[in-house]
Formats: sequence, structure tokens, C-alpha cells
Amino acid sequence: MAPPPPPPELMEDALGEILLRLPSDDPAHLLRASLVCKQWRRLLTDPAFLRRYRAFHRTPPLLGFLRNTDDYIARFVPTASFLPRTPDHHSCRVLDCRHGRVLLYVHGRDYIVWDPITGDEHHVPDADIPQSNFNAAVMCAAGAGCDHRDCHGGPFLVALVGPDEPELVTYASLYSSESGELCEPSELEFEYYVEMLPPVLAGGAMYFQCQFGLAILSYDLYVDGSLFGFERPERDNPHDFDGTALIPAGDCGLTFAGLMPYSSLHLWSLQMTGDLVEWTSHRVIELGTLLPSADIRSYGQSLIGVAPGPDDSDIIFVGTDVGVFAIGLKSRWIRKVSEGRSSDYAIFPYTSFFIPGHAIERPSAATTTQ
Amino acid sequence: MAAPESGDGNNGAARMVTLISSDNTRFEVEAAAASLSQTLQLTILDGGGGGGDGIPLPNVDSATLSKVLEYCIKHAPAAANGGAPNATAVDRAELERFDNEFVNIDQSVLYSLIMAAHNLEIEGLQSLVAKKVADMIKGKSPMEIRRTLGFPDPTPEEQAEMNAHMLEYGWAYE
Repeated sequence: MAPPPPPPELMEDALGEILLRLPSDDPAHLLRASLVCKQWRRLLTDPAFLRRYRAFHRTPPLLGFLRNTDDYIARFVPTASFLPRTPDHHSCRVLDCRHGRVLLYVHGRDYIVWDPITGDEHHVPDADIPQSNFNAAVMCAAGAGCDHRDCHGGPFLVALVGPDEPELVTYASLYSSESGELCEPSELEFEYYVEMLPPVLAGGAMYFQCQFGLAILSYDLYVDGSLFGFERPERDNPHDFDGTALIPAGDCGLTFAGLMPYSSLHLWSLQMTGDLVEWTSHRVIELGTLLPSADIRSYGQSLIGVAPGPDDSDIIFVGTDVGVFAIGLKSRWIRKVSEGRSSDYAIFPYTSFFIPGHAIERPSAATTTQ
Repeated sequence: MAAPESGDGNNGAARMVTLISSDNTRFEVEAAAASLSQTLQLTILDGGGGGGDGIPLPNVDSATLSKVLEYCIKHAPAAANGGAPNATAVDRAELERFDNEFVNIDQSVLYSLIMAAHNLEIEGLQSLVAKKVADMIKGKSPMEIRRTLGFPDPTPEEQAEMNAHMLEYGWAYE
């Protein structure tokens, strides 16, 4: 067979159109293409091209998830080819993961904000870590002014919540990487203690789950720093859920998801009028037909995580005896993302576009330290 | 905008324009089809390309132009409907089938199409050929991509750079 004809010197914008269409679900595509020749590499490491690429593909792909092992390791489990330089952080616990950043609690010491893509680590000075019943969340500091496709290395915020003396008082405070300081704490008398379950950012508030997910604490981030506590739906339901999760809904709404026996996922949406909280059951999704075999259905499974998917859809993660499954709720697809028996512990899905190390833009406001 | 007298209004017959390839072949085509090209659209709106004049395209040979026009003629009705929001599923499926078939071509023709689509600024065609090449290279190693696209063998310097890169990003090559 005759060899293919030599390519013409492709115009930069024609080449750009081609490389723009390399799939974003696996960072290896861009990385391999960047090695083809100097022209390709120049283009693929050009920040302007990479901005276009991310805008074209819109939703950052799922690269993996973080989980806490029984021996105090915070572990990155890949679901695409990407693997961070240090997938394991010893003596650490993952608390949260958002906007390409992972928040780790270093046992008895402090918090680290880790960027698996760049490898950057930023210690959060916190004079006062409670003994137990606390949690924390991380987010890009730019808030609604950022689409979070490009904000690696930019300033971030960490919201901290925990118990305070006297008992039944919960405090919250916000750390800013720009100022390097914690803000004045807010307080609330609340009978439920904070649980280390994945926090959720919806609208301008961070929502924390309390006491096995029985109640929820909201922390206003932008207006007045107020704290507000309320109970989950079906508080008195005798059936306990096989895992619960909070899901951001629309602009500032919140959905409570609970997995019931026999793989039916129940969703409630939150209505808040002043201090009046109302949950409305709005959807039940039968996952039984999606899960691949009768064995899996009978051994039980647990709702262990949620991630934003393409086109404003949600992806939920279900742990089973044979592995972790990702399920697209809108178009009802299922994919096994991890082998082996899964624990019931929550996982923290990691979604981000990949950026080759030398192409990362660092906003001047960044205060990242190594 | 008022239609030029020489063109429309001829018992409802579609207005035609003439395009002239680099090797001097003349192609007569409906103005609506040729207007898929952003480059040609203004000239055509100004009444150019009609009658004996013709629009010369010095960068596009006749083989490529005939292929380009095949695409434009097929896509012109949908484009006239504003990107085909009203098109039926059958219409869309038919266009998709046509597109798949259309890019199932020799690589040298594909390259000529890429250049022509960019010169003439035909958005849909640019996107179609780009997607085809992207599909050809996805999942391949840098060396395989070079071979697929007909690049010459890498220089020792390029080879060394590839090796170093593979060491650093081993996960991308497993």
C-alpha cells in the first residue's frame, strides 16, 4: 500500500480546528498530539488555544475520584488515563473537591489545598482545629465571575465549620488565599453536629451535611456569612437510606438525593421562604434496570458521590461489591469506573480539563506556595 | 436588500453564479449554495459572479472545487432554514449519512478540502473535515499520528524530545 501523502503545511487555524476536536474525556489525546511536531506543540501549549478548547468542550471531564482509605491515606483513583504525580497523601483525609482543587485535612495539623493537575499545594493556616465533628470546603475565589474551566493556580476560599463552646453552638469561618486570613466567624445554635460528608456549593451558599445526613447546615459565603440549619426530608422515615447526597440544582436550588432499598433513587427539591423550609419530592429514578446484573442488585449498593456532568446533567456514583459505577441521571448511562469491593464511604469526584504543566496560566493574584 | 436585476425574478428560477477554479474550469451553481462560503457571500450579495463574469478562485483546483460544491449543494437547503432547526429527524439523518460518506475519501483529497474550506470559510465543511482528521488521530501515539498523516520520520532531536516526554507523562502512553 502506498504511504499516505505528506501533509501540506496546515494553516495554523485549520490545524487548530482539528486539534480542537480531539476528545476531552481523556487528557492523553492532547498530550500525545503535543509531541507530534513543534508546530503542534506550540499550538497545544498556547493559552489562547487551550481557552478555546475548554470553551468548545464546556464541561470539565471526570478524571478520577478521591477516597479515604482505612489506613488514613487520601487516594486519587483514576477513571481516565491521567494520574497525578502523588496520587496518595498519607496521614490525610479528603474533605472536599471543587473547581479542580482538592481539600485535604492533615491529621492533627492543618489543611492543604492540592491541585492534582499542577501538583501545587497550599497550606491553610488554622490555629484551631476541633477534635471532631468539623468539616471544610474549598472553592475558587472568583465565585460566579468564573466558569472554573481555567482557574487552576488562582485564588481560592476555604470554608471551615465546627463545634464551639458552649455545646450546641456551631461556628463557621472563611479563609481567603488572597488575604491569607480567616474572616470573623459566624455562629449558630444547632442541635446536630457537622459530619465529614461532601459539602455542596449551590448559589452563594455552602451546604454541609450533619449527623449521618439527618440535617443540613448552610453557610452564606457572599452576603452576610449567616448560618442556617434545617432537617433533611423524610426525617422520620423508618427506612434508612443507602447513602444520601446533596446536589446543586439550577441557579441556587438544592436537591436532596437518597438511595432507597431496591435501587430506587429519590430526589427532593428544597424551597426556602425566609426561614421556612419545605422539601418537595420531585422524582424517583429506578436504577435497578441500569445496574448490570442481578448479583449487584441483591448485594446492596450505596450512593457515594455526585459530580456535574455534560449539559447540566448530574452523575451519581454507586458503590457495590463489584466496583464503583458512575450513572448519568439525564440520559441514563452507566459506566464502571473502579473495580473491586467499594466501601460505603463517600467519594469525591475530580473533574478538570488537563493542562500540560508548562502551559498553565497563573493569574497575578495567585498566592500559591509550594 | 433588493435582488440584482440580472439574477432573481426570472420566473422563480434560482439565481446562478459562476465560479472559476485555479485551472480555469467554470462551475455554474446556485447562489444559495455558493453563499455557504463566507468569502463568496459578500461578492454574491453585491451581485457579483453572474453572467459571463464569474468569480475566480485562484487557490482551489477543479477537482477540489467540484467536491466543495457537492457539499454546498447538499447543505444549502438546511442552511437556508437557519441551521435547520425545523428539519425533520429524517432530514438530519440523511445529512449525517451524506457527511460520513463525504469525508470517506483519499487523504490527499481530504487535505485539499481542509485548505479549501478554510480559504472559502465554509464553516460546516471546516468542522466536518477537522472532525474527520481528529478521529483519525485520536487514541494514537505521536509516532502513529506522524505515520497516519504522512509526516517524515522524526529527526534524532525530535525523537529524543518524545522519549523524554514519555518518561515524564508515562500515564498517557499506557
